[in-house]
Amino acid sequence: MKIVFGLYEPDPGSAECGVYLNGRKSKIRNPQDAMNLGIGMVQQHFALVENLTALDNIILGQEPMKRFNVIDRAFAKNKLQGLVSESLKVPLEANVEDLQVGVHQRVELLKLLYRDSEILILDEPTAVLTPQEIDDLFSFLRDLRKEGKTVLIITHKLDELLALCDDVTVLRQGSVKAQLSRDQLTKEALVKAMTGRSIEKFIKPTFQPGAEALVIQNLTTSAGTEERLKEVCLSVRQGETVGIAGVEGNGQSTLVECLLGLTSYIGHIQFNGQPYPHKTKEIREVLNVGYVSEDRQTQSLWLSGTLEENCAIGFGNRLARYGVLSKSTLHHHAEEMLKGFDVKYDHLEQKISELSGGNQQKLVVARELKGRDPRFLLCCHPTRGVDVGAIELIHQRLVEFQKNQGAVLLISSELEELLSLSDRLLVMYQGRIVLEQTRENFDLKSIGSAMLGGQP
Amino acid sequence: MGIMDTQLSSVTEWLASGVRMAIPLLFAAYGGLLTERSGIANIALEAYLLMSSYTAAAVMAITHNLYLAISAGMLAAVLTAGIFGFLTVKVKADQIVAGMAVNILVMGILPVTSNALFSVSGQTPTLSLNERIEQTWPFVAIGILLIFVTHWMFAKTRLGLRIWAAGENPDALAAQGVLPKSVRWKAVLLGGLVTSIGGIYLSIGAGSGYTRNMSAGRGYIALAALIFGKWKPIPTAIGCLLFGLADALQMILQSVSIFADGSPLPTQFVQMIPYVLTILVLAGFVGKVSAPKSLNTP
Repeated sequence: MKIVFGLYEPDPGSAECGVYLNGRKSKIRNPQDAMNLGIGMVQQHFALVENLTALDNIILGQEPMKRFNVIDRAFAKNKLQGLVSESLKVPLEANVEDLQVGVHQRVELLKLLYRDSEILILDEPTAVLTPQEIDDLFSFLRDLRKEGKTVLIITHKLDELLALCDDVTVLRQGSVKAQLSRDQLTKEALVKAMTGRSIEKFIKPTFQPGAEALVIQNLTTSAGTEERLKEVCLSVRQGETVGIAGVEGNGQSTLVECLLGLTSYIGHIQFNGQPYPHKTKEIREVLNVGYVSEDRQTQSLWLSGTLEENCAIGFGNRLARYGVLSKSTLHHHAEEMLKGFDVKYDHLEQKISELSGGNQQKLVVARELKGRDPRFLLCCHPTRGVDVGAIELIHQRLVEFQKNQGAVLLISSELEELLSLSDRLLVMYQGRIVLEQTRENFDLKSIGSAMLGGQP
Repeated sequence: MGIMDTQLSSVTEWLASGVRMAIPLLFAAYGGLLTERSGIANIALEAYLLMSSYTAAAVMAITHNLYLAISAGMLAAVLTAGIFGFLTVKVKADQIVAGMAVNILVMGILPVTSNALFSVSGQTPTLSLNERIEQTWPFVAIGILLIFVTHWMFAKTRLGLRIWAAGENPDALAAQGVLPKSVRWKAVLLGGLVTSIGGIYLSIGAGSGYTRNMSAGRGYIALAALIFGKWKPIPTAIGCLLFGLADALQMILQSVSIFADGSPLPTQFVQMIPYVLTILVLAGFVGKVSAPKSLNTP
């Protein structure tokens, strides 16, 4: 898709291959070419300038002009008002940083409409949205379809495909595995095409949780921190998974930072009846807390390092002899650790950056679970942006860990994941826990509205 | 004259002197503002100032033509900005290292050329009174105009919007089909042009010819004023005035008797004032920094 949008250039191939538009072969060398052809794309990571207004973000690159290089904002506003239906209302004068993620998405969509795009490409558009916002988005996309626009949506969520799409093309490892039209579209067929085998619906067995492991009482952070926590109380038992749902930016990262000793706080945290340490070194090395970070590329891995080296991160003291890490120790350690985690690699001295996201993530989970063997795992977005096969494996390993009386605090933006793994689910909104439900009482509707700050 | 009058006149003298001191800072800070808003961290302002003040004075000494001197001063700073732009925008070198390299380069070039032209190392011949721009008001007027034009540019114009976006999120700009590189080039060259006026003021406005290290760190102080102003036009101008006043205070205090025997404070301490202020500002005295988000990322 990035080729279609002109961000990447395709490798030169034979004369017939290339991008065809309405039957004509089109040369797209950069995003400008694509936009001129009526192709627009919303990327998975929004391309917005945070401290500009929504309006400025929309017109950026195609500003209507008056004399002296002055932007005709009134004209742009008029044009947008003509385009915007009720379902796509955006406060145009507000700064983007003050708007919610769901609104960011609408700003991105407006960018495309403002440019009169006929083909709209959306890359994982629902990754950051709440269920209600997803519904809004889909009804809007259906409206667009009625108006004759072409919508191309990239997703790994099967329900979305079933709900929205006329045609589905399944890609796996760079080649087309299946093309399904509306009447052939079933969940089973899709899963089979995506994984090459069928995956049974994953139902988590229930375990009997043990004593309380992690207890957090009245956790509050000072005003200086960006996402403040306000009197957060929660507990995780041994052999229990507690999920935290919420729109990103409602205090989840601050909670993680507190538990890693990266932010100071008021309140009490206990682990197995003992006070929880404040220093990161003690938390990770003495208490041995496992941590799967929300962004594997910047926080969990050393991207220019090899697999072996990445497997050894955090275990330097344990693996070194007289301060020296020997090649064979690293090799042996990595080999041992990756067993059972199905990480696909050529050799262990390969650069980690050559691995797919799913394989990188499996390595991280292997390191934090098998390499570390913790009693408590702080697990953030464990399956963000990874394929179905990797999700299955990671979920299995998390459940195994819980079965062995491990405690898991799971933070995720994937509601489906939270619902299938959590024994209890908490919803965070503006730094507070606003809702708690146990597995048997999960109610998607009240969870969704609590995420947006409504009454459960 | 009563004692009230003396006090009043010394206050107005201080203010006037402060404004004069703020002039080169303002132009340099605005040069920095333009460059840094586009995402290029610019510590080469010092080089722009040195280069333009030297070139203007040198061309004046040779041709005795004011307009040639001013144009040459501007061109010199724009060329220096071109070198800096080549390093930072074109080949994407580390911006701080590139800025340092340009500073060192200019510090080396000036003594060599002055030696070749005038057989003195690191300065130009003294200019006579009618070879200088004696009045201050043209610079003050241009400065005030610059404040408003810059403010207007960021608020209203396409170039302003794009420079802003290039400094905050160049990927967003690229995704809209605008090359961040070309925006940054414009901003860097414009920054050189604006800064050059400050350099010209130093050598043929306030001074009578170029003297060794004429800018005396003003490029860095301007950067501090820029940070003080949180990269916004009007607060940055206020920052420049503040530093200008500190500089003026320093000069006045050098001649004021403080001790019983009538001697002033040791000059070494007094002269520290603007630099101490700079350190305080840079050390985060101004609170939460709100730099352009993509500053110093190629």
